[in-house]
Amino acid sequence: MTHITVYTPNNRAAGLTAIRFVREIYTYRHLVWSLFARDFRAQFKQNLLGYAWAILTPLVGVFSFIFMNYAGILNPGPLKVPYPVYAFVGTSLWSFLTSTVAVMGNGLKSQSDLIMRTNIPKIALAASSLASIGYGVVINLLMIGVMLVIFRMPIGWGTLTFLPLVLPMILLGVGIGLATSVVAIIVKDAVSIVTQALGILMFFTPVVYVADNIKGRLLYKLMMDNPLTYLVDVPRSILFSQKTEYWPQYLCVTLLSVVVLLMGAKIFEIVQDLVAERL
Amino acid sequence: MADFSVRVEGLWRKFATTARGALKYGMIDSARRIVGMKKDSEHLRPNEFWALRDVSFELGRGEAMGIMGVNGSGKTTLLRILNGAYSPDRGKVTMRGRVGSLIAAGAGFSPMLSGRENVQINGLLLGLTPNEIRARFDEIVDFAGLDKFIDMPVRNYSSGMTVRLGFAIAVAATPDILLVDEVLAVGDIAFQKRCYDRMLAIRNQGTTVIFVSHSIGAVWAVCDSGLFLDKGISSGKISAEDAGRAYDLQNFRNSTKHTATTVLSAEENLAALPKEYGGHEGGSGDVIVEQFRLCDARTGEPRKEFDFGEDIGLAMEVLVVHRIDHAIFRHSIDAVHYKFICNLDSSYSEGMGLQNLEPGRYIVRTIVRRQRFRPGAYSINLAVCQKNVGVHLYFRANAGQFVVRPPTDRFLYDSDSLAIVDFESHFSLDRTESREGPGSRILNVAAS
Repeated sequence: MTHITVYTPNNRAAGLTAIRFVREIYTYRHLVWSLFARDFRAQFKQNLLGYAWAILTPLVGVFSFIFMNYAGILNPGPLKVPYPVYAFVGTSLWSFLTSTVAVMGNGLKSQSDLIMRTNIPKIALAASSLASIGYGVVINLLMIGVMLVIFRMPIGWGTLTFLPLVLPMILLGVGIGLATSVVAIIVKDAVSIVTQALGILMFFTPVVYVADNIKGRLLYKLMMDNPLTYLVDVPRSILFSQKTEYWPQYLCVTLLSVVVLLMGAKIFEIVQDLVAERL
Repeated sequence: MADFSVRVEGLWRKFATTARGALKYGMIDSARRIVGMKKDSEHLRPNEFWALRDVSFELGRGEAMGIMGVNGSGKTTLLRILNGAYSPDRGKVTMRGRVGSLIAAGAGFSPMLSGRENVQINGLLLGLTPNEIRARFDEIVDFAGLDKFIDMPVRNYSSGMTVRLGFAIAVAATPDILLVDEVLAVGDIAFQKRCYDRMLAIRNQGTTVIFVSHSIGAVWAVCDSGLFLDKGISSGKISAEDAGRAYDLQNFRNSTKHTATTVLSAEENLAALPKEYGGHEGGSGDVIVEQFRLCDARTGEPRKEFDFGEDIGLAMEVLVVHRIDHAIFRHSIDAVHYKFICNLDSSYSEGMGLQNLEPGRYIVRTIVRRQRFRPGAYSINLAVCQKNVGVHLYFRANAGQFVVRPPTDRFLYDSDSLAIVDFESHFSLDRTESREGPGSRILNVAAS
């Protein structure tokens, strides 16, 4: 059967975006993988520290908080776990959102050459950045494991429940990132705008401190209304104590993340053919 | 045609002329899409222009079409729409089968990676599966002639090697439709010949080729039909020869209009003149050419373009200030790349001979009979001389330009060569040796 390609001013494919995207990514899975491997190797081949960068970046990210805590400037209040582990898990979870948004957001721009000169579905190109996100997440999770061992924290089957619980954060990041990536080609500073906004949002999320120890009532209320709070707090509580009182909120926010992901994919699909000329 | 391979129907495409406009309209169109409206593609908004206007054509399997046009005519836009990079504003493109593109060969090559790794990635980009790439790998390396260098990083390749590899991968993918943009003019002659051979071979296998080029010779070699674009307006599907003629003619017209060319030729003329002339117009002041025009040889109507072989009329209005004995009127003609290719001199031409001129106004009319200028752009320099005086009494460089149009009864494609005149000639062929003789062996050696 010959494949027929049709281009019209407002291409509208029938059916669900998500299914179509999954099918396209599957068709081009070898390419997605090769592009990821290519970028990965190209990134590390010429660096002195090579693959060590993958571990160094999250460590350096959390170091400033640990230092401030050690110097007494940052006081998170009474904690049941060592602060370095607490802060590292928090920043890791937060970085799953921010780095996913940043990497996905710049994903199309960095493949502009291929967008102009080949007819690979743009979602397949965007998906190749997904691979590097997955890689970053795996490194982070491994380091969390290492830290748990170093600080002699209890590790059990309950600890493993943590792993699937980080997914909603990543899905949310992918959704925001997909929408940002197409807009970023038209509006060049879209990624900066979004990542800066997330940077501010971090202060209203208990990433490096504990929500219950917050003194200001307004800040506490904002924090409890912030959906991201539950995406950080619930997995972390599960990791440390295997229990949380926020399951209903967590499930709602998970649902919200899926909705954001689907909306991001939809925006990506309906705007994608407008972007090539701005590259 | 029921069995079409590519069908383009009423294709329109517009662009913003400013970056700010592109940002604004991009945001507006995106917002319209997101709320479920269509993009605003019916009318031109301020600071927009049509890059393509109503382009339509249809190609069957195995056909090859050359798209020609000067810079900015919309060729690349058309190719990018066919390749799915841009969406049309109006109209529809339908393509049947796998589309391969050779738009700047070597696109997507990563300089850090070896040729081998790049073959894999580029093969995937062209829609091959890993197994297909493995099966064709040797063929690709062999065609590109890179066996020793295939494991070297691509950034250490010469530009020729990069393009050879890119071309080898693209043709090995045997697409149903191949889009080619200006890439055949690379590599040495032997490789270029292999490329042409391969293009012909894949056409014979049924691949439809759409070929964008500035080289009329290359289009003529590869394509049987053509499409000429002028500021986004398409000629429709015509013969490759007609597209070449239209393209040539426009180039000739541009080179007479284009200030850069005329200034250049005027300056080159200056360099050819003795220093004391000091400008591109001048003289002793005894005589001045007040008006000069090119015209129809029969009616005297001003004209700038002439058919191949057609008579050309010239007329100059001359003011004689002081008496001139034995005056000579002279036109000399420049081609784009050659200066003073011929002189037309009143002293030895028919009709006038040497003249003694009293002060007053005169009109000098010249008819250039049965000229054999090849199609192209030419410019004319004027001079008034006196037989016994060794300097020009008056001269003017680049006083007028004209274009000789390509003939319709034959295809003189010489934009690749620099030939400027044509002579009627006769060819005949006799076989002098019936087996492969020493001559062909020598040629083979030269080519390998």
